[in-house]
Parts: sequence; C-alpha cells; structure tokens
Amino acid sequence: MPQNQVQAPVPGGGIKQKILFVSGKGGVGKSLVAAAVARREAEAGRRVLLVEIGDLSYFKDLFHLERVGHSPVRVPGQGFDLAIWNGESCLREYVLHYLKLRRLYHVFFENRVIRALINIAPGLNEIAILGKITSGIRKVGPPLDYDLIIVDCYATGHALALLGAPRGLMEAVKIGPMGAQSREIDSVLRDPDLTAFWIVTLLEEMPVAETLEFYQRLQEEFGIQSEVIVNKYLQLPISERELETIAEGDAQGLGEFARYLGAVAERQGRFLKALEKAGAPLRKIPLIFTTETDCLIREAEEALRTT
Amino acid sequence: MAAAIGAHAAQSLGRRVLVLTVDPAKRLATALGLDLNSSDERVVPLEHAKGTMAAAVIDSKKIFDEFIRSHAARSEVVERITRNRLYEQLSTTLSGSQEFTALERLLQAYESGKFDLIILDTPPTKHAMDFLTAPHRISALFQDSVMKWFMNPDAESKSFIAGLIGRGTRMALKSLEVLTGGAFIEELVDFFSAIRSIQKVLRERSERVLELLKSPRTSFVVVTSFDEAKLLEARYLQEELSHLRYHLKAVIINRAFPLGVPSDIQAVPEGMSPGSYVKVLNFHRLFREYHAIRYNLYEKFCRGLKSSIAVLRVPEYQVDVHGLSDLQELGKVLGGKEQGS
Ligand SMILES: Nc1ncnc2c1ncn2[C@@H]1O[C@H](COP(=O)(O)OP(=O)(O)OP(=O)(O)O)[C@@H](O)[C@H]1O
Ligand SMILES: [Mg+2]
Repeated sequence: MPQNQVQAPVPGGGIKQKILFVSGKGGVGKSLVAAAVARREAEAGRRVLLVEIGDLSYFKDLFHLERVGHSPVRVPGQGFDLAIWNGESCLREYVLHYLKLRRLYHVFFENRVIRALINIAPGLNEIAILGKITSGIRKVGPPLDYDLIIVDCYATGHALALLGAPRGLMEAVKIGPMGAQSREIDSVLRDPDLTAFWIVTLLEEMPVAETLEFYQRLQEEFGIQSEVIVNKYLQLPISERELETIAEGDAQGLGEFARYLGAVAERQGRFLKALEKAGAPLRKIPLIFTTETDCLIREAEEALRTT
Repeated sequence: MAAAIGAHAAQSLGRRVLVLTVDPAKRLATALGLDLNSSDERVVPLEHAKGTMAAAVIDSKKIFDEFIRSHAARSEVVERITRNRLYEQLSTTLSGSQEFTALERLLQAYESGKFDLIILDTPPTKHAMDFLTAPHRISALFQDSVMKWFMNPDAESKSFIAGLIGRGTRMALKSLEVLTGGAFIEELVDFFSAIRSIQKVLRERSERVLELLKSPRTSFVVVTSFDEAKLLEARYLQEELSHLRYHLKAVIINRAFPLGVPSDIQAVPEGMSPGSYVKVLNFHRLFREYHAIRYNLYEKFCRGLKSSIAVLRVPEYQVDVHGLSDLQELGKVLGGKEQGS
C-alpha cells in the first residue's frame, strides 16, 4: 500500500519509486479509482504520474485536455501528470534511447520487416510497456522523475496476460538482453516493496467472480498480495430494518423504492462476505450521485483516505 | 449480454445458437451458471425453448495446436513449430494470440453449419480494436516483402539475412538484435520460417474471416453505459466499425433507471416514522436526479447515431443478472425492442 507507507529514503538522496497497478473487470471504475489515488498522493506532496495503456486516452476527454501522449503532461487542477503508453511508443523511445542515431531509428521503424515482426512477435509489446513502467526503478532508459507511477491497467483477463509476459519470455529466451530484462521486470512486479496491485470491483455477481479469480491467480501465479477496492457501494439512508418497515407499510411508491434498496443491501452484504472470506483487504468507495468529474474524483479520494 | 441475446434467440425464435467467449476471465461461464473449464461446446439447458443453445470458452492453446496439426503438411513441420519456445508462449500465455484463435474458432463454428446464430463475446473497448483488425494484421505479415525475409528456413539466420535483404533491413535487424539479443531473434526466425509452410492457409483463413466479418449476415452490437465518457467511447467504436466496413446493428445501453423503482412518490403513508420517511424520500430524489442527468447524456448520444442503428436499453434489475432465467428475461427485453425498431 503505497499510501500508508512512509517513503523510504534511498542512499544517495531521493525517494524510492513505487508502482501501483489498478485493474478489475471492465467498467467497474478502474480509471476513476486510479485518478482519485493519483490526486490523493499528489496532494500529499508526491510527484505522481498516472499512466494509461493503449491507443485511446480516456482521461483526455475526461479532463478536457488538448493532447495526451507518450510524454507526460500536467493535468490542470489535479496536481499529477498524465501519459498514455503503448507497445509501439515504448519501443520507439527505447530504441531511440539505445540507438542514439536518429537516422538509424527511422530506418528501424519505417522498415516493413521490422514492423511486421514487432506486430506479431509474442510478448514484445508487453515487455516494452512493462519495461517502461519499471524503467525508473530499474534505472534504465530516460529518467522517470516520479515518486509514484499509477497504472490505469487493462481489465482482468488482459492484465493477467500482460503481467505474465515477462515470465513467459524469460522461459522462452533465457540468454541475451531480452531474457535479462524480462527477469528484471518480473522481479520488480513481484516485489511488494516496489509494486502494489488494486482490484476494483462492484458488489455484483460477475465483477466479484472475476475479482476472486484475479485475486487468487495473482497470489498463486505471481505471489502477489493485492487489495480490493469495492466501488459504487450504495450507502443506505436508513437501517435495513427501517427499510423493511417502509417496504411493508407502503404500496404507493416509497415502499417499492424501499424494497429496491433492501434488495440492493442484501446483495451487497452477500458479496462483501464472499470477498472477506477470500481474505482480501477491502476498501470502499460509495456510489457518488454526480457525473461531474471533479466532484467524483474528490469524493472517491475522500473515501480512499478514510477507509 | 451475449448469453442473454442467445437465450432469447433460442427460446422465442427457435434458433440453434452458439455463444462463444474470448474473455479469459470466464465471465460468460458465470453468467450461464456453468462450469466451462473445457473448451467443448456445452448445451445450455433452457426452459420452454423451441431452439437450442450451446456455449463454449475459446481455448487458445488448443485451437492453435489443432490448427497447426491439421494444416501443416508434414509432421516434422508440426514438430518444429510446436517445439519453438516462442510458439509455446504465443499459444499459451501471451495476449496477442487470442484474437487469432477467437476468429478461427468463429469461422469453424460458422463453417460447421450446425448453428443459425453464433454470438461472439469480444473483449472490452480497449482491446476490441485489436480484435477487429486481427485479420488485417495477419495479412500484412504475409506480404511478399516481409516473407522474403523468411525465404530460407534452414540457413543460419545471420548469413541469409546478409544475402537476401536490403541494406536498410539489415541495419534495422542488427539494431533489433542489439536490443533483444541474438537468442530472441533466432527463435523468432525459426518460428516464422516454420510457419512459412502454412502461410497460404493462414492467409486464406484470415481473408475468409474478414469476409465473414464484413458480410451483412454479421452484425456488431456495442454494449455501453449511461455516462459521458463511455458514450464517447461507443461513438469512437462506431466510427471505427464503419471505417472497417463492419455492420453495426445495435447499441445496448446498460443500466437505465432501475426497473420497478417508481420515478415519482407522492403520498405520505400513514403511521410512518417521519424521520426515516423523509430520509428515504430525499434519497429517492437524489437517486432520480442522478439518473435524469445520465438520461440526458444518453438522449444526446442517440440523436448522434445513424437511424439504422437500434438503441436498446437494459434496466438495472433488482436481482443480479445471472442464472438462466434472468438472462432469458433480459433477452426478452432486448428482443421485444429489437423487433420494434
Ligand atoms: N463511485 C462511483 N460513483 C459514481 N460513479 C462512478 C463511481 N465510480 C465510477 N463511476 C463512473 O462509472 C463509469 C465507469 O468508471 P470508469 O470509466 O472509471 O471504469 P473503468 O473500469 O475504468 O472502465 P473501462 O474498463 O471501460 O476502462 C464512469 O462514468 C465513472 O465516472
Ligand atoms: Mg478505464
């Protein structure tokens, strides 16, 4: 948990960089949680980089930014920086950094054989992305001047494939720079002092089923202990017992609403139990009745701070 | 959602339906209340159904292996491919392979003629595009200029590179080797020269998939939810689909106002403790306003859609959408509106 730990001073000054991956089923609130924790950490005085993976930036529209690209940009009013990384952009940067010669670099990327290879070579994209994310800690490539890197990661299935890539390549190519890098990346991911994982979920059947599966596989296959963030938790205005009374007493609307709330409460309780039984550390973020980004982030941040 | 549409088509329309999922997290299995640990098609029991429904999880490794086995002419080739270490990674752990196998599986199911309707559950938006352009990428790989590089499968990689390709590519490959190391390149070269022998089949299959995807018989359905950023994403996907000349038939919007919750509450019930009454009433107002804002966003989105695209709304249920009877219910909601538009 990066937020509760005092940042350890590193010999020679500076602060040890940390990484937080935020994943979970599609649509559960990964991006909002990632942005909220980014803001909270930034407010605590840390230099934070929020990273999206892929080609299409979600935060660009959300924060009404003109441009989001590979190089970090400051998000106005939020206090953290934002970047979007994909296999190609990470590989480009890496190549440029190591080949130095710009001319060679063009030859490299304009070449059709190379393009085809990059497109299809198993694991190359994943290694490029994870390589970039862990580059600050591993002290390779261009400097990455942040205390915390928060990754708004893929949804569960693809996240597992991404995280499994270094190990896969390590086994496929034992020697050479590729094997060595994969090993390094893999060990950063598994080091709980360097990397943390949050799984965001809703208290509903399918997200919880995915969360339990993901949580277990992180533990078994990676030795990673993750935390679960329960999102859109519906906070009841009154106790369940009072709700029941209203549900029984009124047939003209309020009762029906009370019955709905009662059913939601029952469901939430059931899925919370299932998560607790798995032993996952839990935090809750309530359902926030607004669609305004700033308000959403602020309230989610508040909830993360207090639970 | 895929399962819901499938159950409806089997039940009310009497179709023979197959539901396929690529999602490695097996959420479809959960939705069907089935244990889908194997990749075989399983019949899903439906009540009062005129048709049938089967479901299957796509097992990448198995489909890859079978593909190589059935298309490689000689057994040494099969040996060589399956022994390659990168192949092993490609077919088991790495994500890029899912698109290929899912589409191959779709094509097989289509060609089997066993089904009237095949529903493929694709990954979330971020990966949907990778998925939809997979056939294009496979074709690009087998362009002549690229394949020339793999012309001589038996030669030592470095020497044949030197002999066959231009200076630019030679330099580029040298630099790739500096970055990844010779071992990686060697595995890669070995892998590609091995699959060269099934190049023709691979290309044919991906062209056939593309044809199938573009055919008017194939409909794309985008599932999205009631909020601005998600609707923007759906719009982007819609544009990409039409760019690829795929047919987007419907947009399904998840979670409108919960079903069974009244939008207006007037009467003060008798004998109710006023405090809790007011609290619930206020909460209801908050709840309603929240949904109203989202509804406005949705209306704006609908106005921007082409009229040929149906928009269906799926309300939030009081109970979770899982287990077959719920899915069938959902299917009816979808089906009813589908016919109307
Ligand atoms: N606690 C909350 N209260 C209210 N709305 C929320 C809450 N959490 C998330 N949302 C809203 O739900 C929607 C989905 O959230 P978000 O985009 O963060 O999910 P995601 O997991 O990143 O989705 P995807 O898998 O598509 O990337 C957004 O519109 C977001 O504003
Ligand atoms: Mg997101």
